[in-house]
Amino acid sequence: MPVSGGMEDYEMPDPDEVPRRLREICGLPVDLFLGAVRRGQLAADFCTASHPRTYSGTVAYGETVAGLRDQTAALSWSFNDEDNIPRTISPDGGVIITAVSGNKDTGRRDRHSASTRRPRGVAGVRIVRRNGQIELEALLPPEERLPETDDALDLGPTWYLLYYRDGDTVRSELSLAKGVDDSGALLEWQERLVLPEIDLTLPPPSDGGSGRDDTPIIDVPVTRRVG
Amino acid sequence: MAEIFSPERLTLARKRRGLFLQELAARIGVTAKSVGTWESGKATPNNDRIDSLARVLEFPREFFFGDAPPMLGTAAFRSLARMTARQRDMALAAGAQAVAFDSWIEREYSRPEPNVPDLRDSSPESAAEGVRAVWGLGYKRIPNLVHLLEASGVRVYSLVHDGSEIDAFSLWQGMTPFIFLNTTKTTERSRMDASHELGHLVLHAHTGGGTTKQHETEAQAFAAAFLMPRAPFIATSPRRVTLPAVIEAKAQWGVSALAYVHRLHRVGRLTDWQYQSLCIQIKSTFGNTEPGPERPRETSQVLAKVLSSPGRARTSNRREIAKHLRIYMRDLDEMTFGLALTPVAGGRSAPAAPTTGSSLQLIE
Repeated sequence: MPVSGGMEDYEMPDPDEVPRRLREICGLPVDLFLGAVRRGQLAADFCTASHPRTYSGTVAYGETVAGLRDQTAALSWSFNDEDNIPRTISPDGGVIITAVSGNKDTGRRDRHSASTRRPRGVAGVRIVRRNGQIELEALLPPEERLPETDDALDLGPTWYLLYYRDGDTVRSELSLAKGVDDSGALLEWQERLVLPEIDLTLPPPSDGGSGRDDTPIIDVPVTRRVG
Repeated sequence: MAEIFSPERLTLARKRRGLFLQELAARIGVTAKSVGTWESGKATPNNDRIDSLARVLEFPREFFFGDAPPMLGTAAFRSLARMTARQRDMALAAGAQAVAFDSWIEREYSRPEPNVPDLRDSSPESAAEGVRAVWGLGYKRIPNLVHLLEASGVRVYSLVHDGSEIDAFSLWQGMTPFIFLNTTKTTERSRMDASHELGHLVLHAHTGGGTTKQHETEAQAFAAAFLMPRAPFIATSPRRVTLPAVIEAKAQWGVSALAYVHRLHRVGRLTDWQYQSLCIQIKSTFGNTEPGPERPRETSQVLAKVLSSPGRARTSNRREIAKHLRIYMRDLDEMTFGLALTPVAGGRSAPAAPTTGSSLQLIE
């Protein structure tokens, strides 16, 4: 569904459509992202009043990234931390995901000013501008596209996994930014995939009903004896 | 050669119906002493009396003739204190019939051999881990405990007992482990009962079946540890233990909310005070009917396969079995989870296909 809002026009699939769209983009299930975000927030809860005030945010960030990487590693994803951006990269390099803390509009379909909590630094600005460039290039016929000069440009766009903690609720989204101003503030989205809210007071869904944690279905062999 | 009247079969039939000597005597219009002499073999009832016995006790006449029924090894009973001699006798008589049925199955069919370790010197918690190791379960959850037991050679039969006194019992009959489950309990309760009885089989095989209070406590601890292994249980427990969180989490393990919070307390995730107040909340909010996704009742796969396979005489196997055991089909259904029956509207019953979905390999 195209949306007009504070950050211009962008795509925002309906909640029912999000799982399908996620599969198209990166082949990953919703629960994988929710699991990573939950892990970050639960880890932050171990911080006490004795810890430095900013530490819980750092822990949440670090554990969200680790959660994302741990879960995708089994699916042959890779990662690198070039320019101190913790990228998690799809097997074919077509999609890059990086987790970052979002502002209070994060994960809200009714708000269009969702953004990262802090402005992007130099490397972040480059990432977003490159997203915009990839989108533009996709519109050009192949012969008019600029030749790739940078190795990094072989890779696809970089999506932000934004998360925001509101009491016992955590909201998150996987979103693609394409516009940023010189100060690093995000200006423009291409697409936002708003993920279901996480209620931290409830246990995590066991395994999405896949039965992965269950003993397999048992077939007890019973055979009539000959005679 | 004409078969002779079996005193032991009369005793079994009387106990199966929960009658004392005097009560049976009164119903057929003789003295208790007469019935006593029939059961001790000192006298044999005449044909008319045997007809009366068959009618009153609801067994086919032929039941009272033939070989003596199997003698049961001593059974491990739960809730011994609340159980009367009458209830105990009824349950054991039903058990003896199931054992007789089981030896017929053993003769006719091949099934997994018993593979239940004897872990008498272990703590309940490590015995539960031991059984999981022997059966190669790791930390996985157990969606169907009855099938798992059967795959490891445990014979599982149902009891129909309308009362809270008998949940389940188990026994070693020679080298073969048996578990009997009361099917009038909730699914969650029944799973816990089956796990509890497995605990007795594993921990108390050497005691000859009589259970003490300590044995009961150990079997209960085993039951929880086997269904909810410590490590994954803690890892998936909710951060803040509230009633809604408990209702959500208990379904993963297929246990009741009370069993779930008891385990949480046991592994140190709840203080005594939190545990007690949650128990009160659960009982006062839900009573005996806890919310949560409805879990299908676990039934025997072995019995479903046996009952649904064709009889040798090309009639229904169920009919052949009842005839062989000389019992009415209703009694057969009571020990086979009612697998041949499916309740329909109006409380009537109709034959139904087995629900296992897997087919029986027939080799003849």
